[in-house]
Amino acid sequence: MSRWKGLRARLRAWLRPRRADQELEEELRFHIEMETSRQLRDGLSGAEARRRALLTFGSVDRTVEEHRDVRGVPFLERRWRDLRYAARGLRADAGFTLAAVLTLVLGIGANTAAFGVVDALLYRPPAAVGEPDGLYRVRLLTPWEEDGRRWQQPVWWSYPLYEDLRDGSGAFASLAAYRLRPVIVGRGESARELPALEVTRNYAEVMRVRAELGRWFVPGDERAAGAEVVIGYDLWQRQFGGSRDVLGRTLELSGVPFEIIGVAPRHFRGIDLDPVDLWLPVGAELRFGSTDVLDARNTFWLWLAGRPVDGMTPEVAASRVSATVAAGVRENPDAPAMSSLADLIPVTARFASDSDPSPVPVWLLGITAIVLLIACANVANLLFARGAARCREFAIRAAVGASRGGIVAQLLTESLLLALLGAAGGLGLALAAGRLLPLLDVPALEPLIDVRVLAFSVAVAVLTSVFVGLMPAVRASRTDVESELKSATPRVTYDRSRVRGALTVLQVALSIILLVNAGLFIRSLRNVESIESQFEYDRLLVVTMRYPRGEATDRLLRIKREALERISALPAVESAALTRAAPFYAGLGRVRLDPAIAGQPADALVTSYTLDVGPGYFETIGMPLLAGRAIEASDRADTRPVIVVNAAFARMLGGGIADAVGRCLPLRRDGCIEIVGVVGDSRFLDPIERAEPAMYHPFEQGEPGWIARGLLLLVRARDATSALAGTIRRELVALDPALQYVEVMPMSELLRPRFQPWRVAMVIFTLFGAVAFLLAAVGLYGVVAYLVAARRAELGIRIALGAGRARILRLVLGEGARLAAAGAALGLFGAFWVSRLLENRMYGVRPTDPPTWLAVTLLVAAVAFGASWVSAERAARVNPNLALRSE
Amino acid sequence: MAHERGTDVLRGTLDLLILQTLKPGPMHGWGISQLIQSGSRGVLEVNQGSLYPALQRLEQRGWIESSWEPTENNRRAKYYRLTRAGRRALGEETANWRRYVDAVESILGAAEAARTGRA
Repeated sequence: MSRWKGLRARLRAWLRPRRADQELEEELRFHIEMETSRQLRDGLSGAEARRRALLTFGSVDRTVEEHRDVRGVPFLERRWRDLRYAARGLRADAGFTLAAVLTLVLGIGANTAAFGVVDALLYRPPAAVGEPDGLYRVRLLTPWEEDGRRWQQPVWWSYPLYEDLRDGSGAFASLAAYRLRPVIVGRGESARELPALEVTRNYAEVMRVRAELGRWFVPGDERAAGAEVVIGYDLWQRQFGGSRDVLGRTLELSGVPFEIIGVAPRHFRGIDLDPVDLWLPVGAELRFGSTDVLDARNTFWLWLAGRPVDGMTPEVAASRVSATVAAGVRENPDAPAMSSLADLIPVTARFASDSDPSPVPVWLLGITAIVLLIACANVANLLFARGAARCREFAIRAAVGASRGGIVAQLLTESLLLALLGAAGGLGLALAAGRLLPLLDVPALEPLIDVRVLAFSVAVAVLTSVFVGLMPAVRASRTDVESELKSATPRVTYDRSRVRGALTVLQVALSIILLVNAGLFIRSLRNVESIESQFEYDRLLVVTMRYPRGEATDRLLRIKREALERISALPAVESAALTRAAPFYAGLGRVRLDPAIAGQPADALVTSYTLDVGPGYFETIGMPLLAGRAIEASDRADTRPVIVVNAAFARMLGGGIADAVGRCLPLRRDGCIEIVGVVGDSRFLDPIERAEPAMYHPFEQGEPGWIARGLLLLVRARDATSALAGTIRRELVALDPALQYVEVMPMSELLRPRFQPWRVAMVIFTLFGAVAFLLAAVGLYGVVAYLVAARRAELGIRIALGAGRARILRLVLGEGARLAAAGAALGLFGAFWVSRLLENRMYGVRPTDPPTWLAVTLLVAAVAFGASWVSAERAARVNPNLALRSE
Repeated sequence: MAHERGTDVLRGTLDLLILQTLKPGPMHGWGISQLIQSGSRGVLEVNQGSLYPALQRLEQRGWIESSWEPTENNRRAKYYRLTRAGRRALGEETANWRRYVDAVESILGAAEAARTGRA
């Protein structure tokens, strides 16, 4: 209790220092007056009495001073004093402060941004989901193989299976199903396609998500779901201006009216990263025309997420799921054989599966850590230099009574202030970087900065300040007070520690590693992108015409044929074709062929792409005809079945390209199909895949139902202007008002996402390589300048003894060259190893690509030379008299 | 000029004297200095200035507390009084002091006895 009173007294004095001063003044005045009265009583006169009173009291100033020293919370007050002193000092030395803070902004900012990305991608629980720890993805796994890799691939669930799990497995307290699909909002020319999530009606309950406005779906029978939609927060702002009367309004989705019943919270997108604009009940599929999708055991289209029964571990739940699935398969003999291996993954573990272990974010964190280290090395060097220049100041402080610990504390406060300023600027940098992410086709990771990232930033700042400031502070506090104060001029003591030189060598090495790999990725990206320009994909448009379900097949075919005629007639169109399959987009199939066709043993795996295309396809795409003929309008359902193959296929058959023409392949049960032509190779899924065999069937000879809905229009424009897209849209809408939606996309845009990995790698390495290099250059300059300053006396002597300018220049440049050479050697060695690690992600360029390495080496040499030159110049101009006198 | 290293041991005898002076009842700073002076029969002349930092130290340790009260002449003065912890500390330290003095005295007394031959 009394302790508390004591503390209260301390706090009061600390928080209201002026009040404490006033009280003391009043107290002392009272004391002096009482003493004066006593002196008066003892017989002294007025003035004399007062004088005697003051004498008896002693020094008022000292009392006040002692009082102030003892009161309050000295530790905090001292820190506050340190802080103010540090701020003043930094403001006075603006050049140093600017350099140090900018360096730290880059270092800490880069790390903060990287951490934000890694956190958002890998660790952050999904936004707006309540109690994410108890929520799991329920996955059905099937073994998969591609490119020699094997893993367990998650596959979709069917609705009846979901019902079995929800009601019969006894494993889940609640279980929801969902699936992402695009829906067309509106109609006609203003129609847009937006991502929508179809969910079971208990979704909100499972996600424990609230509604920003209105409500979510009410749990119940899915088949009786109303035509209700919940819109996303962004959509609410974008399209409805955030107006609160959006509830009850109608949205037309793929031709069906839905009522808006609620708005989702900000940033909510379920448990995946894909953006979602609309939430619909799964029962909406019935309204879209898929009447049996909720009953078909063999239609797989859903993902599941749920919360296990209280107390049940995910493993036990998973085994219950597996058992339920196995039982379902047994009871339904016409269900396809399927895996019954199931698992439960927490929704917070994003890349736990091995289907896509994307190491890019973790690489990013590693690179930014390197950049931060470089930045720290620079700032440490700067602090060393500054400490050396302030020797006198520390000596005086020590003489007046500051302890060594006090000086170290004060200097650490300085570096902490620098680091916090750096962190503040770094946060701004990270925010800006977050806005730029969409340029790299990375999903928007809003919000990039949240509390965790902020805490990380502050922690990094504190660690940095200690890491950077401790050694210089300890070094600076070690002053020789006597000799320091005795000398007439301010002395600057330098030490020739090797540490700083080593730091610079490391900086140069690290930045070389980054720059070399940046160069390699730049070339890779160029090579990959040149593929695009080879086919002039920016002049090739893919036109998709979407119709509501239930549209008759013949009508679809008729309309699309008419569309082809109309579009081909446009003056801006060079050529056009109808096709079911388009590379990088849709309709691509793979089939397994009888190995005997290729003259291979019976157990060999022989596959080929298969595409259904129309007349004019090859011409429009730009593939050369090597032998025979292309698909023509005369190839119809009632004529002889034919195919065209590509050169790779012909090679697979054995023999020359021309030999393939005329061969009859036993692809059907009743008779064979004749090859009528051979075209050149091309790529279908990956811009850098090897040429694979492919077969082209006339789409008229395919199964009409499947063909008609997916038939696309390929259009080759005369030049790469975007006006044609609008024209096409208008023409087609005018042609058939029943058309729900027309999408026109240049092939180059379809390709863009495929280039993303290279683009991302290139940007990261280039950006950080440049930053690291800049920092290393500054560091190099700093160290050489420091060395020159340290050796001023020696240089003065040399000059006085007759050393020529060239000699001095050579001396200093030699210092810089030594450091740079050591750094370069280390860096090139390291770059070699790193590039070998990244080799499989590069394209068309060897890890030891000579031009890249040469360019980087020359760059480093040039900059090192330039950085040293400035100091060398200064060294040559040293006035021997001044230099010697200062010793 | 060294600063106070905060410990729980009474710093010097000044703190002990202040606590003792406050034992009968509250008093203001000037009064305390007079009491110490008179109580020691003039032997101890407190450096009056050092009284106030000592008072603040004791207050921050929670052994005394202060409040502004009117004096007999209706002037305002800051009065100090013992807290419970202060009373306890006073008891302990007084006992310690007594033990210390007794020890010293017994040595001195023994020496005296040896000198004068008295037992």
